[in-house]
Amino acid sequence: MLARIRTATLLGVSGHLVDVEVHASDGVPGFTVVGMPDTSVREARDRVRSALISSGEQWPKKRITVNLAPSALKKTGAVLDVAIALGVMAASGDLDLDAVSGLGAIGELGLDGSIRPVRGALPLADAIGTRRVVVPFGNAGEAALLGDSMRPFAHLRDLLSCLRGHTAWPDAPETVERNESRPAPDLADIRGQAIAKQALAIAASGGHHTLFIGPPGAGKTMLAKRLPGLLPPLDDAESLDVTRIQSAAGALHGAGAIRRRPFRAPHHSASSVSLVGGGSATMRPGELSMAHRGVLFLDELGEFAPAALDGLRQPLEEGEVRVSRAHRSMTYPADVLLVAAMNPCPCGESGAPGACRCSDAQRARYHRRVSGPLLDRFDLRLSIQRPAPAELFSLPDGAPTSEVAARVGEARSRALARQGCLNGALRDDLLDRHATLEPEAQTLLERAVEQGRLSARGVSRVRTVGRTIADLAERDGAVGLADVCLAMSLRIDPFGGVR
Amino acid sequence: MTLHEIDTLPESAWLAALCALPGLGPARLRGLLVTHGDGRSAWAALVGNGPIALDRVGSDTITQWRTVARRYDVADRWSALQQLGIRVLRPGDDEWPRRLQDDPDPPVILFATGVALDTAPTVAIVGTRRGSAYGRRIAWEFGAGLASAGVRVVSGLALGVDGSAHEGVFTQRHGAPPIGVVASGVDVVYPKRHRSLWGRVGTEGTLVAEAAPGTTPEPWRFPARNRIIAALADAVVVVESHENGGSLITVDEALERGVLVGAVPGAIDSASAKGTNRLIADGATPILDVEAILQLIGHTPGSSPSADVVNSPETDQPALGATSEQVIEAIGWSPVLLEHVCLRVDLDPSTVALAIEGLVATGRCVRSGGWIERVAS
Repeated sequence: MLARIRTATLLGVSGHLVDVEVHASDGVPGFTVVGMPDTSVREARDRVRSALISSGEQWPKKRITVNLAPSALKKTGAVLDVAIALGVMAASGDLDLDAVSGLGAIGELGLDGSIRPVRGALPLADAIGTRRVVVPFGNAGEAALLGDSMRPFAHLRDLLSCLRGHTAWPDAPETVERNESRPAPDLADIRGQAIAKQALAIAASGGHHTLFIGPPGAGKTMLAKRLPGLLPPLDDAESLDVTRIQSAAGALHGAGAIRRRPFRAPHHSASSVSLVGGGSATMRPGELSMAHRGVLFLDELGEFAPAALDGLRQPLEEGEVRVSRAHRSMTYPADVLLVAAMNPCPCGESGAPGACRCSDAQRARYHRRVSGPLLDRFDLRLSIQRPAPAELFSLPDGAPTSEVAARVGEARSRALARQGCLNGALRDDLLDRHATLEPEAQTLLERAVEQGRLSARGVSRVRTVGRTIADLAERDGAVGLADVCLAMSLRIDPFGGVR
Repeated sequence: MTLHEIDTLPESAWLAALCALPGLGPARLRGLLVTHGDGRSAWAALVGNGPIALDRVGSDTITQWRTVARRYDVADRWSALQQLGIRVLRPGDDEWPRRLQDDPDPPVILFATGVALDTAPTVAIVGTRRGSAYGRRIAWEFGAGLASAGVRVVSGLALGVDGSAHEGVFTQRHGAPPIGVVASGVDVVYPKRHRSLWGRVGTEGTLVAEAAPGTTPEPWRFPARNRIIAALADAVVVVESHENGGSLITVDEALERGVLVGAVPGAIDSASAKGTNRLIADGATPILDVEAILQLIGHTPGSSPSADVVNSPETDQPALGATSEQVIEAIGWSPVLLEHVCLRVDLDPSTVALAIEGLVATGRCVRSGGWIERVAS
């Protein structure tokens, strides 16, 4: 007899439908898996056998062939276990074929028959698309996002009993919001740093990548951590996207939909693969994708491997990661707001003219680590300083996150209503339409180009930032001289530094 | 090389040849002269495998010298020096500076190009390579003021203060010619960024080196060069120096020779003024203007210090609005960030950025990295 159960396998961040066909016939008892299984799938036989026996079933004394279709797709992981177990039972006549027709199942089996949660349950279950999909109970939170067809089970015995009609099907799982135990950090926690805070508001409003240059202890990390809070909350579609990626990366840990913008801060020893994704056969998403729709923070930018940093350039430009490996190429979403921080030079002094203790050669070596093209991706580049101890207590706290976020929201709506995208994503050919300049501002930019202070690309970027500054000030018309001046002040050449 | 040529070569040619050997500095050269009497005999001993004994010089080094010396055509190089207009100075020569006659550690030989060294009043302007715009501006002003007062400015042609001082000198149409004392050969430009300045000092002023032409600037040559700067000057003025800056070596050398030392005060919290402020605390003369330097060396200028200015960076200063005045006051005289200025004036960042843009355009401030420095009142 032949049974067919639908399941899925994970590649990158998306699930791909897999048909598990199980054929049982008389002959010398045996078990064969065909259709490009990897080792973990081959091992399924032993897990499935023990799980079935632990659930009080008999292992059929038949010749069993399992075919995984389509055969061109490489299947990985133990996620196919439940489907194989059901196929074996149905093909050998221990389960009614009608009961399993049109059934989808994902889940890994323990030797005791328990159904274990799997990495990527959300994209996997989504790829199956049948009337009923069996999902591990531990993945119920994320599966809830997919609606009524999900049926969570914790044990194979319960599942079989349900299929035999002994017990009723369980309800689809309830949507659970991820429980955020820690409150998000607030802007008001930082004293002073008015310009840096303004830069954060501009970054959040226009989607401009930001680079903080300052000595250790200036508060670069504190500032960066407060950026996600300035962005509007994820809408339903974005939330699904983000949750899907976190699920595929195995970072959900049983939680449900993610509503808070991700904040990822990989260590500077991160490899190129861990940043952009890919790697071995599993093709896991990298930090760039994990930060999709949120903030990617690279502290100590100068300490990252130059090759790893250059790997970021294409994804930052295109909003997605393309990874090519021998057997296939993949695309991951990677729409991030990049914030980076670095010291002005290796000695870690303030970077003020005359304060540095580094030799020219040391400084040049440090600055070479961040390539010009990467530096160019940062629309906002500003020096920040440790406040003096005396100032620390006298400085104003400034506006709380909620207040700034409201202004950011307004500015974003203004941009979206005008041009359908944030200012940071505004194409150069649309600048003349949406970011017109007042004559004085135009003159200033022309002069800056003549003096070699700005490149042609720099001019476009200054215009988009100026547009955002005007949007934040609730002005629609042309971008003014003061807007452009501030935009240029927030785009320093960190290495032009000291002569 | 014919025998006749060898016989007619002056002692300077042999000394120049010895100088060109790798790692042969003034101390070793003097050692060779002590044992062999003169340069010609020392060279003959090297080439002819004769005995060479020098304290703390290994046989490897001497073997290397012998190898280099055998391939070195003394007569050919001597004529090359003359063709390039590089003068070789020795004690006793007319041009040999009188200030070096009683020097505790005098050079054995000097290479010079450009105008002759003379007995005109000479002041060394030295300071950090990585200073503030303030230091460079003061060096520039002192260079211009001293040159126009007929004082020769001696410096090391390094980046920062040294270079600015000489740039200031060249703004004076009839200023006293500057003196540049360099650590490499006179034909090896270092730093590269000073190529044109180097050329001007080497023709319109005097370029002096202890190292033979072609010598690259090895690190040990810089402190040695500093002693010559101190020795040639009537006074050493340090414009800006870090706590352990190289200019302090020049100061030590100056004190050893009884040369007067002055220092320009800076902000007490500025890292690049720590060394100069310390000098003043230790008794160096505080230098508040060019007049103070002239008084220090007891010089009465032949012409007024402000005459014959070719150009000045402060020529174009239109009146600025009230906001600009407020902003430039807030900037003060130490490097600041936009952040600091905004805190001090209580204006919104765009307005302040606009005012700073205007101040930079009119030359009253300069920008480096994100930092803003006031350079003119």
